[in-house]
Amino acid sequence: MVGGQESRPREQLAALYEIGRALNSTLEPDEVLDLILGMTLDLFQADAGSIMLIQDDHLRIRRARGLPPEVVENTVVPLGQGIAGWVARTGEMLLLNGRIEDPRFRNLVPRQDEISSSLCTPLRSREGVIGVMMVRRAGSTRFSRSQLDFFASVADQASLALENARLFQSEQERSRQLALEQQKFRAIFRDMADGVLVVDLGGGVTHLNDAARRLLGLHQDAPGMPLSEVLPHLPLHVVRQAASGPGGVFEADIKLHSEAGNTVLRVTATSLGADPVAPEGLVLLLHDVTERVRVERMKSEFLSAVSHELKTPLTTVSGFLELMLNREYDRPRQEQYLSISLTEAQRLQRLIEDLLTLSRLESGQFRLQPAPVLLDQLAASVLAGFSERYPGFHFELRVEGELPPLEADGDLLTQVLVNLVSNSVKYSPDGGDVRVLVRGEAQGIRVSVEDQGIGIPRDKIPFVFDRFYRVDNSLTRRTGGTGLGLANARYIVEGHGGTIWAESPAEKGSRFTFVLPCKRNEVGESEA
Amino acid sequence: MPHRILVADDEAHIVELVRVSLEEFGVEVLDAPDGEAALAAARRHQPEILLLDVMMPRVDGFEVCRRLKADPLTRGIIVIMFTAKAMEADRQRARELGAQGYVTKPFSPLQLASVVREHLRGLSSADE
Repeated sequence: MVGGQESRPREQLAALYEIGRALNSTLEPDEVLDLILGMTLDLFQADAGSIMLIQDDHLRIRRARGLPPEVVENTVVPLGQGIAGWVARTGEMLLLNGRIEDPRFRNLVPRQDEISSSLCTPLRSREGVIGVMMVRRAGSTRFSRSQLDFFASVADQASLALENARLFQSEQERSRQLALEQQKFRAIFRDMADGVLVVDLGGGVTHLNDAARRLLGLHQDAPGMPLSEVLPHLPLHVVRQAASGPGGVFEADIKLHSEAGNTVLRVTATSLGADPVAPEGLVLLLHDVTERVRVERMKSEFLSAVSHELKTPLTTVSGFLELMLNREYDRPRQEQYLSISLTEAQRLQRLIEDLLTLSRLESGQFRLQPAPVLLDQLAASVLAGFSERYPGFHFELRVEGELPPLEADGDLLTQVLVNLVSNSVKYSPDGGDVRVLVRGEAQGIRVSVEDQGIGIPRDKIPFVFDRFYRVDNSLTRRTGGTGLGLANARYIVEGHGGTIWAESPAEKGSRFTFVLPCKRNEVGESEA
Repeated sequence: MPHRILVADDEAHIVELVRVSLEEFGVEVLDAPDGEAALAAARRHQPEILLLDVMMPRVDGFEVCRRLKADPLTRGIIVIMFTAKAMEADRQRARELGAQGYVTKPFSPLQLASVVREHLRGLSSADE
């Protein structure tokens, strides 16, 4: 009524106040649009109306009354075209009465009702025109010029409400994004393989992830615990000092002892906060380097062992040569020392060959050269060689069952047999029998080498295949072994997909057995 | 009575080399194949000099040296360590354990002989 033909200022103020109050009741953009349009239509006793908003330089109908849904859905008005386009482009209000002849204000929207009067106003935000609001009448009562100011005031109210709703919505969207981002970071923090600990200035743990909990063996929730309790070997002031200043990083390896075993953690600490001079705390990254440290130590021990193994025969060779150059010895002694030197030189050569084999086997560069192998014949020729060299021993070969055809690297398997038999010879100071059994079995071929030597103490058995491992025994002085024979044998057997193990029944004599898998079925089928 | 020298090394040929190197001194050379045997032989035979390899089975040379120097019965034995380890840290450790000499493998038998000769001279002058 107030927006009708003859409304008075007081009534208009009351109406604006009502609109403002209603619009303040919601921040949902859709509800705001509904309220604006509904109240404006009522106030101006309009038959139809719409709110169009600018999107990508075009107006789209966001709310309408008196238009079919498909029109609302499909109408896209370029800025500058039609009534709404003109208002949006110029930012001026428009009152149109009667039949429209001006080609600028052609009605772009197909409609059935006959429009006799239209009011159209821009909607503005701080950035400029964001859309237009239009009210229309079909009957004989037309809008008048005196209503333009009031319509402009309603549009201002509406614009304000729309802007508020938009701001609210974008704020909400931003917090939703922030929450998502936070969730993502929390998940990254939680699921990192490395442990992360955050401590405050006083050294109290404020954050830690699952990996840190696991690495530090913490069962209860650690936040609040002092760092000195969580990582007792890490003096806070040292870490703080190293991490302070621009680019400051503290790095150290610390050893932790627990029931599960020893762990080495590489701790990297940096200052927390934007200001490196006045940090808010510390971020500690915990990386498990146990395995790396172990491998490095093994490598260095291996190198040290290799160097020892190489220097030992070298000492003998060069030592006797030096003596013979500087002192006079009779012929038999000369021969003795030369023979010792030769033996040691040969040992040096074997050692180098074994080392090369081992390094090739370990690096995985070694390509097996599989070909049909007759393991019984191979064993027979290996034993024939030993019989000639060691007359104090009795070498015996027994073959049981039918041997399935074997595809393997014959040279490498020969090396395995030579290594096992010479091991038996070495640890049988009194000679005796060395028996080799080759047996065809369901899953493959089993080979065992058995001697009557000094045997292996039970607790030493797990280590006999380790490089340079020798079972200590004061009864036998070392005589020419390289300490690599069994290690190489294991690599070769495992390289063929087989297994090898050692036994020492009653700690007297030893038996080394390996089983090589065979593809028994394939042959049977191809023959069928 | 000739001086006694104990050679502790698990390498038979090394022991032989040492024996030949020292034969001109007319000393009695005993040998032990590992650390435990070396300790037992040192107590039993009371050698004047022990030539001690570091890398030995059972008890290593450092430990043998430590135990000998801790035992009043064997403290006086002159210990000369020899090993393939050329690290300064090992030399330092040998000194700290009370070893009087340190020879690196591969060693020259003539140099070893001169080191032993020095110590034997010291022993003879002490006897007089």
